[in-house]
Amino acid sequence: MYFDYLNVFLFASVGFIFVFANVLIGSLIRPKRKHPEGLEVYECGEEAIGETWIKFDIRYYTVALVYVIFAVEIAFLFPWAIVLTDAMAGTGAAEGAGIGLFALVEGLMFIAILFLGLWYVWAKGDLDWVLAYSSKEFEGNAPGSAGKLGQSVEELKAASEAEAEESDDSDEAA
Amino acid sequence: MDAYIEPLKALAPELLLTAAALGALVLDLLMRGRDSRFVGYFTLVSLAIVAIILMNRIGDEPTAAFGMVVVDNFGTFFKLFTVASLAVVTIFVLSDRNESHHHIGEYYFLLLGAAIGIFFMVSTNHLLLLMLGLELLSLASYALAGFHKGERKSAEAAMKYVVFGGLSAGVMLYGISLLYGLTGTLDLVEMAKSTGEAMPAGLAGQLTTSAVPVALAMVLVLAGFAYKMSVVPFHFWTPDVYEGAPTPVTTFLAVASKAAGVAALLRFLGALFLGPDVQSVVAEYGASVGQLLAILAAVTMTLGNLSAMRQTSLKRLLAYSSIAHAGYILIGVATMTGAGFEAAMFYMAAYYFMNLGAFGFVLYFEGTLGSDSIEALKGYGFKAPLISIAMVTFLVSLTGLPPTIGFYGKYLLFKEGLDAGMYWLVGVAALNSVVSLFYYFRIAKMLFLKEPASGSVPRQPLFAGLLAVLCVLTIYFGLLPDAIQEFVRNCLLI
Amino acid sequence: MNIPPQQLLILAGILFAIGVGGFVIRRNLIVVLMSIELMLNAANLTFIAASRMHSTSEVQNLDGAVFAIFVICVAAVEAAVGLALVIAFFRRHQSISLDSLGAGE
Repeated sequence: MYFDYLNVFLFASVGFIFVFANVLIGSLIRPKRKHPEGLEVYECGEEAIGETWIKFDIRYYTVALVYVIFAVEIAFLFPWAIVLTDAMAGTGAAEGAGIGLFALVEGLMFIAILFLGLWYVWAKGDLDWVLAYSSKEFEGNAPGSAGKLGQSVEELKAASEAEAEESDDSDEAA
Repeated sequence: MDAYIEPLKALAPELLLTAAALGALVLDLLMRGRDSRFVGYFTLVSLAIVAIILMNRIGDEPTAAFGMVVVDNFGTFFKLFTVASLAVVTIFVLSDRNESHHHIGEYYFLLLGAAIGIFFMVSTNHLLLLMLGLELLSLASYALAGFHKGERKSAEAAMKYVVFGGLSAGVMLYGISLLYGLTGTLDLVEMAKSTGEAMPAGLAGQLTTSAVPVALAMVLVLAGFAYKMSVVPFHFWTPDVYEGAPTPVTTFLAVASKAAGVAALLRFLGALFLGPDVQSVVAEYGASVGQLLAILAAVTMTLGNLSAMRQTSLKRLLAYSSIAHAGYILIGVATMTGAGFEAAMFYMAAYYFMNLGAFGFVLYFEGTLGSDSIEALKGYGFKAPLISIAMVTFLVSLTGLPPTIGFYGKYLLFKEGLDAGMYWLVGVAALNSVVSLFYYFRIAKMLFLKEPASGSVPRQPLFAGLLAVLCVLTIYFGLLPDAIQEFVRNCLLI
Repeated sequence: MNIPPQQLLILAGILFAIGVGGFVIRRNLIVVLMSIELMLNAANLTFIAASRMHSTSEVQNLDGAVFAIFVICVAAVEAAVGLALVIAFFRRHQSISLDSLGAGE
């Protein structure tokens, strides 16, 4: 049985040797520069700005969330879809169970409920790409506030159009 | 085909509740966020229908559906309890003065979702469904606790709730996985029944070889229940979450969610250690679990009461008092007898009236004065005499003095504790009751004995009427507890 | 190649211990949530290992495997709710450290 692990061991060893051998060879044959500029990160000749530990924009979180929901949905639907053929025909493991139509309707209801949820967040505007957050706008659901998260694209467009119209008016007046 | 449709009838309340939750969501969308009061009324109506179905079920023979759901009187009792407390909470939401954003209908959806979780939690002997119900309740509660996410306290409360909830869920799941690994089944009745010679091995087989892994798994699983009931050492979240969450949500957490924890614990222990076909070695092991629970009970009530004495905020005080009450309820559970479980269930029923009333007062008081500090209560009894008198009644009941339902509930718990031979535990509980007298009566003193402040309080006749009804019932069932006791006895499964 | 279930159980135990350790030690909320996920996955691994342990060549005991799928779902939902609340918290405090959670008055 321990022989089975030999493959893993060989693979791991070769990986380690490959990495460290390359690092070693590189340090032996590369030219040595003592200036601080030589230690900087090479970014196509541009000067590097800021650190690598930047924060990701939390707006991507919405995308991730929608992904997670439907990924988990697949975890449930995959086994369901695989046995559905057998269940409908009454063959294989489902022989004599007569569960076919019931299983189909149940699965469809599961999907329908998920899509109801999707419709809800969509209609509520929670999937809109928010252009700008400011701490003032985000009072969220605080009592007394309007409960609006930033501004959506449509609102910003509407606002800029309104502004443009206003400036037109003032031009004419002038 | 019929074999799958037929059991659905047994699930009628759950299905109706699910339909109501989805209906609330759709209704909220169709209203286009104008006013969510209609969603609230819709919720009340559907709760009433569910309650009627449940009422008709009392006394029916237990049935099972899909091999997982058990429909019996024990479950029906706690389902009725949930529906009744949810209805009161919904009325609280509707009359909450701080709720200026009545255009958000998720409130009701989340409350109904939590109720579905409780429904499945209390009516199953299968650990998978138990866990799923518990998680559904938890997830809805997290969102509810953070409902005012723009407020500092609410956001923090939800954060703490999620962190501790996640911990306890992880611990409990690991415990369940160990139990499954040790016994080979997730069905509690099967687990207790199996002799250990054939598959599944059952608890008996494991206990005869070594009890250490079982003890580890048991402690881990109990942690999950302890969290829901806010029993020490899983109580850390309670004061902060109760204080930060919107008051109707606090009421829900303190009453319905805690009752669900108690119900699931009773069901778990009852099916595992007190069922009809339990192996004798398993039943013996149950006694040692009872010992552990007795120690937890003593620590919980002492810590809850001592911390409550130092509070300046009414909501925090009630939070610590609810920790202490979890300790009292554990006395009944720790006896590991049918009569002890009955006493715990009766105390839950008592807890319903007095705690809903007390939190209702907090909501009223917060809505009129905008603060929940005990100092602000000064002279409130002269401004709003009716609800202040009701509050004093609830406080008397929480302390456990006659002629209220709290007295009789405590009497039953102490009696069962003594019958089971746990004299030290009952002694600790009696001392704790004396301690609790101090802080409950500090509130009463503030209400009536201080100088009356000037100014009057805006009236909410409907809300005040609800509190008055709860107050009358607290005294009525305190004088005539037989009705509830009979009901509880009929509902207990053992 | 057949890994005995005992080794899986030991690995699950180690994962769970790391999860609890991370939960207790780390102060970053995201890392705390990750520790919780680790604990849930330890439970998953135990379920799968136990499911295989209790299966014979004739009778499959799939309870554990089914439970694992549900745990995955629960873990995903919990992470989603948890992260949403972390963001609400971050907007308030400009920090996701547990230390900025008020310790209560």
